[in-house]
Amino acid sequence: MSHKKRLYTLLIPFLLLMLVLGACSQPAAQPAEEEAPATEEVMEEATEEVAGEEAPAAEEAAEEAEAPAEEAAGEEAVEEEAFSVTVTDGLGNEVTLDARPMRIASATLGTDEILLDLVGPERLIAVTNLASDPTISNIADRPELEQIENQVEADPEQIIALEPDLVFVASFTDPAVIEQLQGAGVPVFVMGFFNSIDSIEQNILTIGELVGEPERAEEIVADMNATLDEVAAQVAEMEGEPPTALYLSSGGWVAGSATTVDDIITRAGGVNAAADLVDWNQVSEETIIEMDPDVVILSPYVTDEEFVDNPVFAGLSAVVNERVFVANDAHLSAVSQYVALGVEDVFEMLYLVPVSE
Amino acid sequence: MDSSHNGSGARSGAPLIRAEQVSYSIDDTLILREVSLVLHPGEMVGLIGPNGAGKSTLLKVLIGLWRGAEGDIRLIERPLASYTPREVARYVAYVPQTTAVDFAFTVREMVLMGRSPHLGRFEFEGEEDRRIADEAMHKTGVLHLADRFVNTLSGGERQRVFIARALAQQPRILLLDEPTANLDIRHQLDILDMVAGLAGEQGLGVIAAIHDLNLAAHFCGRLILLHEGRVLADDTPDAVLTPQNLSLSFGVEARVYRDPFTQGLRLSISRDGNGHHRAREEATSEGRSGRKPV
Amino acid sequence: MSSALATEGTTRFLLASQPISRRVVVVCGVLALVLVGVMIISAAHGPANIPYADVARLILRGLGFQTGLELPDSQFAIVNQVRLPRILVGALVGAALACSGATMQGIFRNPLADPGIIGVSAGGSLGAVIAISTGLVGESLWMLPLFSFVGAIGATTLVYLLSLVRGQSQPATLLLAGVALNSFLGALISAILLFSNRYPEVQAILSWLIGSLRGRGWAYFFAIVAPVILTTGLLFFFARDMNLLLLGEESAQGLGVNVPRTRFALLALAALSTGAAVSVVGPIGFVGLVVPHMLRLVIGPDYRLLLPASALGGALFLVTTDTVARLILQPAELQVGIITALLGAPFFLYLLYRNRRLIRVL
Repeated sequence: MSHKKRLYTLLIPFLLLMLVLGACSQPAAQPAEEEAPATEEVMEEATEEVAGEEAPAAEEAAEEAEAPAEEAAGEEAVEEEAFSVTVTDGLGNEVTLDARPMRIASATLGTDEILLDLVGPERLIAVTNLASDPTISNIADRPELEQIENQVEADPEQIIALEPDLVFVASFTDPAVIEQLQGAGVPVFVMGFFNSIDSIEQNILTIGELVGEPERAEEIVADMNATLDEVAAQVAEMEGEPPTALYLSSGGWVAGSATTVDDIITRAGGVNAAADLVDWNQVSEETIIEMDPDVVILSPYVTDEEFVDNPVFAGLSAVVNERVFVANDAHLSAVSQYVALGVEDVFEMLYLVPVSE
Repeated sequence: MDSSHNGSGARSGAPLIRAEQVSYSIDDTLILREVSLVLHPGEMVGLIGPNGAGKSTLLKVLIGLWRGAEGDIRLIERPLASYTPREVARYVAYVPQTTAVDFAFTVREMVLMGRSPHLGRFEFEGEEDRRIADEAMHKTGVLHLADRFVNTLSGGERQRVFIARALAQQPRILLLDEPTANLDIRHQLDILDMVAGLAGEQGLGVIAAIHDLNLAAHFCGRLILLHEGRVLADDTPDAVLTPQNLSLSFGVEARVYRDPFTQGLRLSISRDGNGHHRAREEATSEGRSGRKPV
Repeated sequence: MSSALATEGTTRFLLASQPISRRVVVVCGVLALVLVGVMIISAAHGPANIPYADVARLILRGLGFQTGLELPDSQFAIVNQVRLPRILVGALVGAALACSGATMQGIFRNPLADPGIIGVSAGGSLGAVIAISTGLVGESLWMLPLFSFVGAIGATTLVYLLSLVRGQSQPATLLLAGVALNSFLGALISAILLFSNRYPEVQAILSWLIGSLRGRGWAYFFAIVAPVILTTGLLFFFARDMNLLLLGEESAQGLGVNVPRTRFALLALAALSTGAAVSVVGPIGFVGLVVPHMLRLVIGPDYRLLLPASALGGALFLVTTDTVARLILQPAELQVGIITALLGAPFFLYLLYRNRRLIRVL
């Protein structure tokens, strides 16, 4: 008797939980239904398809239902019928889409920047809340940003509620979050960790393929390369030893080799003073004094006391020659096409001449 | 050391402690009610009474450990309130009930701490202090343990160390709170025998809270019986340990008799009005005590 | 004689039979010599390789002497402006933390007590985290230490007030109030961290929370030298009282210690000392807990010896671990807070293991 009673009490939280879940999912589905029944159908199919991997019968049913939905989508219908793409994401997992993604949610700043140029605001239902922060985002002042309704964090509930058909997260996103998103049947593309401009370009091309915009992706990469070539041409004209440069962030963190910053400095015609170190490293002031770079590029978070007004660094060549610059971190820390702007920035710091257009 | 010199003797000199109408309360609960007592040099007074009668509280109030008592307490002719804790510690040594120590002091270090009321802030113990400590250890029979760690000692040994520390204070008054609690019978006798000897030899005034009535009667020249914070009786053991007093304070039925072998005072105690649960307090020291009849 | 004393306890045992004054001179003399030695080694090593002789000349030059030898200005800056102040700040902080730790263990009669137990570190951390996350750190060099110090003292005061029972602070209530406030402050710090979406800010906070001596120049040294020496010196003043407190409140009072007043003074001094240390380097863990215990295992619990030895030992421990932190991955460096735990914990466990029969007498 008492055992049974205890079992029932155990059930109560579950029942409550189900009630809450039911109540939550309801309003999210509601507006979509009212606005455009056709899109809603497409969405349902998408979810069914993923869920149907184990049940071929359901898959067939979904395929049958596909036809009217495509008609509703209009002139793109023909293209979409052929749409099937499989790419490998940053974690080495295959991501397969059988329909052109129309409700894309981006949960990393890098993909915010790439996708806004790649697919535009119409197919982006969410970007990160970092996208509107001008200190780190390259798209903060873009008017299209306002058309994107949602600003999200890597929160599975928030994202699933938006009913996206493709989600972009980063390699540093909590694996449990990724697991939950995948469990909800949403295709997830995990952005890898990128530490060179080439890898960023490759990444843009992969994402372009996944979202069905390979030509646009190639255009973007071509633009980047044009900028890089421009800089390279000007670097080639420079005489003498290439200047050494050090990128210094708050707390003594410097960018060593195998970092994007290292690639940026190299492409801008400089030598990374911290190239002996691999990856990001915290170094003591004496290490910086020993490096004695020609140019110091400070992250905007470095306080004056920490470097400019620090008596320890008064004798550095870069300080004596007034070659200390504060970086535009949006450019230098970009993992999108905007990283090319970082190369321009650094070139100007190294050679004190503007990049000719 | 034997107990032939129990504290009943010399009542010479001015009183060491004179308390008049002392009341003390904690959180509005009256623990002591108008307690009056006097302690003379060379006296060993046993403080008896049931649990919660206020024995420990009285000891703490008497040396100002707990302040804020009503009434008048005079310590060696001066009001207690006019003493600093350090001054009190030069005249009064107090051995608390619990003597657990978690830190690894040696016995000698521990006994030397008794010298601290006599030392300046940054003063280290000198030769004289070490001599006094050695003497105290000798008197309490722990000199051979001087370099042992206190927390490796047995309960009886540790109790002796604490008394040695109290002696190193060179006090005129020694207050002991249940010095025999948790000790076996042999150690109980040893400790009380030693303390009674100190009172007789050195003219110390001793007040000891003692649980065991037979022991209290055996070693103390005078007993103070506390009941619900009041002094119910203050006199020789014969006069205090009456069936009437014991029934009133402890709620027990007692018979008092003379030990046929030693002529010492003995109690036979049972629960009041219930002959079935007869808890006899056994006579304690047959055959080894040479103490004179009270 | 207990066999526990046979081997490991021998040093302690032999020392204990000596008069305390002699033990203080011997133990502190040895520790001071080792400390000076480690400081010299630390000053001479780093990513920049400078020979000992040149280091000596550079220091002399820093003191205003003419050495007649031309050495590069960069080396002068490295030795005199980077290494020396960092070593001295480390020594001061180590001394402050170890003495405060020893004091807390005495007040609470609890070997697990450390300076953080009454909320100093958590309060200091919250203050620092607020300064970082509001961007006030950019205003002035002193914003972070100031906020941290105010947080440390504020939290401790709160814990103390919460623990008052009939106007007196009882160790048990103090301990519980400290534990509760620590987790509360910890939750606030975590919340701020989670809401902060600027990566460099999060990194600055995390790095501060681990504790670091990097970049601590002369300004920091001069900021804490007076408070640390003053508070630590005043703690020595209470050394014997702390011995008596170890025997329990009643014994202590019976031996002439004004327990409530002494306890308050000790808490205040330890909090000020730790607060000053934490405010410039972050809540470096382990020093306050482990250094006094390591010393106790060797020299015993007498505070008249333990306190000065803890000051020197704490300084020695932190200067050593910071030197390791600087050198182990050079030219990159680790945060000293990581090394104190990485080196301190195993070493302490080793001591515990070797002395396991003595543990009950800790």
